[in-house]
Amino acid sequence: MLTYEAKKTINACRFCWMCRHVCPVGVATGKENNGPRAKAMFLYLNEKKGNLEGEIAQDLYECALCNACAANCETGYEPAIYIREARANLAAGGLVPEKVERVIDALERTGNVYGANIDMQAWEKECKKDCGVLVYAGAAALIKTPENVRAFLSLLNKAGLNASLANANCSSVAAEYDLLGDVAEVREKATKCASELSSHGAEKLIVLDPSDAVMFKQKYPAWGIRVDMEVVTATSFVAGLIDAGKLNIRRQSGHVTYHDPCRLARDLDETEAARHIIAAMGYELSEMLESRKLTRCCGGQVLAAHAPEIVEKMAASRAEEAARTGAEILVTACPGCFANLDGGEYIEVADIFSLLDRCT
Amino acid sequence: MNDFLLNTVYFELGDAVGRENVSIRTADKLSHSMDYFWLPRMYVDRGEFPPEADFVVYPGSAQEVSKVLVIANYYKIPVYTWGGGSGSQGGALPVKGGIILDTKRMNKVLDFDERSMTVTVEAGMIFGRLEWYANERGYSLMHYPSSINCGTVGGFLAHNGIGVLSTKYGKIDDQCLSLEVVVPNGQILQTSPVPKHSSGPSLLGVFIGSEGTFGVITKATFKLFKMPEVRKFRAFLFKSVTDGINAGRDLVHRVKPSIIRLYDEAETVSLIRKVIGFAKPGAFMNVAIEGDADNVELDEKHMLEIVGKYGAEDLGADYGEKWWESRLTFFYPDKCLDFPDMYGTIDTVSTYSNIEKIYDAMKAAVESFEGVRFIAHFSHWYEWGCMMYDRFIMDNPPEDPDEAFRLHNEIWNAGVRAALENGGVINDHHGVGIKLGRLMKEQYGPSMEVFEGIKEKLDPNGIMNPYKMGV
Ligand SMILES: Cc1cc2nc3c(=O)[nH]c(=O)nc-3n(C[C@H](O)[C@H](O)[C@H](O)COP(=O)(O)OP(=O)(O)OC[C@H]3O[C@@H](n4cnc5c(N)ncnc54)[C@H](O)[C@@H]3O)c2cc1C
Ligand code: SF4
Ligand code: SF4
Repeated sequence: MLTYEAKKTINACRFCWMCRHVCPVGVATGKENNGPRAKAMFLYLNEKKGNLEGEIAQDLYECALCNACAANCETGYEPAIYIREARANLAAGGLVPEKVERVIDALERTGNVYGANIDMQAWEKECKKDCGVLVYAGAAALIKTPENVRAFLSLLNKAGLNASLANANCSSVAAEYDLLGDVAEVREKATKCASELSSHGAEKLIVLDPSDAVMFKQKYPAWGIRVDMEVVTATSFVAGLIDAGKLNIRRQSGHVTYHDPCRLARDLDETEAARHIIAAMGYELSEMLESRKLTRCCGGQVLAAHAPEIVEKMAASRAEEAARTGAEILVTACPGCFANLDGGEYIEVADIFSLLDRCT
Repeated sequence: MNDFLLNTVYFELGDAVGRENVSIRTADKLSHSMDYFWLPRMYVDRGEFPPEADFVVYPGSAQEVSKVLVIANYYKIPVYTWGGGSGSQGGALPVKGGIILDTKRMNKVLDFDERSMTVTVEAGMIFGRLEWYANERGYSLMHYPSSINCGTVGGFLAHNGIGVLSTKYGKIDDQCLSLEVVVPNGQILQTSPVPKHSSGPSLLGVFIGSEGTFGVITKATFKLFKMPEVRKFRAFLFKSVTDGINAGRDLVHRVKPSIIRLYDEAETVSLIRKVIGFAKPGAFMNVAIEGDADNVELDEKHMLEIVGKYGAEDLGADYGEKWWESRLTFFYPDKCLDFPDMYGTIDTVSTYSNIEKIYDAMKAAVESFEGVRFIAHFSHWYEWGCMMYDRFIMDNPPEDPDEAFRLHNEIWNAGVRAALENGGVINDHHGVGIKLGRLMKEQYGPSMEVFEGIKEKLDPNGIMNPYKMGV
């Protein structure tokens, strides 16, 4: 079953090729199915004729839900609507492809797509009580790039803030929402997470991963779930610290480019805070053509968990674009992006907070 | 194809391009069964499945394309080269089963030569992304079709496509300098390194516009242009299409605008209300001139002299500037022609002496079908003639797919024959495909032998894109 909204969007996309050039999956793989047109055509025929779901399941998961298509769409359609709904239907019908099913199992077991138990003991010193500021680093940051989390906390410390790290085993449900759609089980988990975070009694929740920030700032309120704190993205919070003169920055020389995280730029409409931080460090910034709201997704962590071969291509293609600017360093502002982009052959990658921590 | 043979070929194709780049999955076959042609879309709209291929192959290089063609040639299996699938003539449809050869994995820029102002690119790159690549360096290919983001380099070459700036910068065959093409026996051919020479006839001309019926284009070199210092728009209202056409001809000869778009009375009625706020009869024209500021100033003076001579009313720059900004908007859903309508673009090109005759004849032919209306504008102007971009539209076509199919083809036959009888051609820039293949002999008569001879020599087993382009 698809909603009216999903069917209307499918009707538009099924015969439309106009946004295919911005689909980061299609651009990287060259596959005709990686983009909205093919998915909409499949779902349309499935509605009309039925019995196609098992055949098209894999294709419905080969999407990073990055909304580049929606941002390009001059009519304002949003393919993510039908893609999420179709995924919910696949899950309900037991038709999820095996490699995706493994990730969903991991998520259900551990609260993260890696299936890893995050050892919060290792962060014991950072998990404090009665702090005004709570930092939600998210599973990707704690598992994939812990050094960047430490750098971020060190920055807060240098700014004289008493901040605590939140328990990352409490999932924001960003990954669950992407893989399972808007279903009761996902909302229940979100409610649990919101109440656990609220129980800290902090005033501010700083969110490192834009995927989590989208949940707390947009999806939870839409679902009527309250987090009793002001939710702020890490980039805008740190830009604010700089404006308030809380950080003593030694200006650097060097030439960088910046990869806008898709959910930060497009869903949260935040593109300038990170640029402000980069300017404050003194770096020369060269922009990629696909920047700000036009940014090209590097794949994200959910897709990387079940289709690493695709994300490898997406990240390499994005890093190559970054290198074309002539910059020496590609700056990222999202733990998932850093994990995907770091270590490639084209350009050195640095996390924005680690860079800043080094020069404060 | 029986399962045994299917498995045999599947295995060999996997060997040639890597197992992950060959598919026999339903989803891959389905997505390659419908292009922008109205008929397969009508099938899907009605819940029917258009014909599917047996295999979908994504080669990564000319060498891999060569291996695929050798296999196909041995087993005598049809090969349909598929770029973006945005073609409107059913050119890439796998109507006879066989192999879809999707080129989009071949998507790299290979050389960017600023000294010669050329760029060499693999044929599967989406054209809009190539344009972005050039823009990063301050250049442009000046090929701006409305489907720039839908189609591939190879697809535009295969249909000899055209963009909105063509009056100044040419059609894609004016912009392409050389090609690499793989032919069915597996040979990788190169055209001459540069297009202007006296070293035999142009090989480029053999392959540009050949719609995947002779071979697979794998690489192309194009001209680069510097971005113009200024691009200025101006709109005019002529009393008649005849005045507009004569003015357009004079503009090409004296000013060389990048854009001239002249609308017939029917299209003018709806456009002009938007421009001046009320209806006024006539023929609306939008012109762009571009280049260095001082040259453009002089061009503007000459342009005003010319349109003044034909009694045009000057409507200023606003319309053109807004049109340029939103030129792709009209191709997005809810803003473009779409189902349930039946429609088609019967674009053709002819001399200034013939183009109005064609307009009259085609309008009469197409509107003789009950419930069908006809609109047209003239864009892409040459020293000798211009292109007519016309459309037929039917609001309530038959629901039954077979009935709709027949009526659709009847209207096309009538429209294209009206062009052919009055000095026009089957098509200007969308190509022939399976949609118009049957009419090729009517245009070319015995000259078809030239194409048939080339086909016979390069593709003796007839594996390349069967039933397309009339060969
Ligand atoms: C919204 C919209 C607007 C359009 N506007 C324009 C316009 O302004 N100007 C214009 O010219 N066209 C326009 N078109 C038509 C279409 O985009 C062009 O015909 C384009 O050339 C098709 O390219 P493609 O890569 O999608 O080719 P496909 O549809 O995949 O294939 C088209 C034909 O080319 C052959 N082919 C593809 N690649 C190769 C190759 N590498 N080697 C050999 N043969 C190959 C195929 O076999 C087939 O016969 C428009 C289409 C749409 C959907
Ligand atoms: S999102 Fe818009 S541009 Fe993209 S396929 Fe759908 S309708 Fe077309
Ligand atoms: S959401 Fe992103 S990955 Fe998914 S179809 Fe749209 S552009 Fe492609």
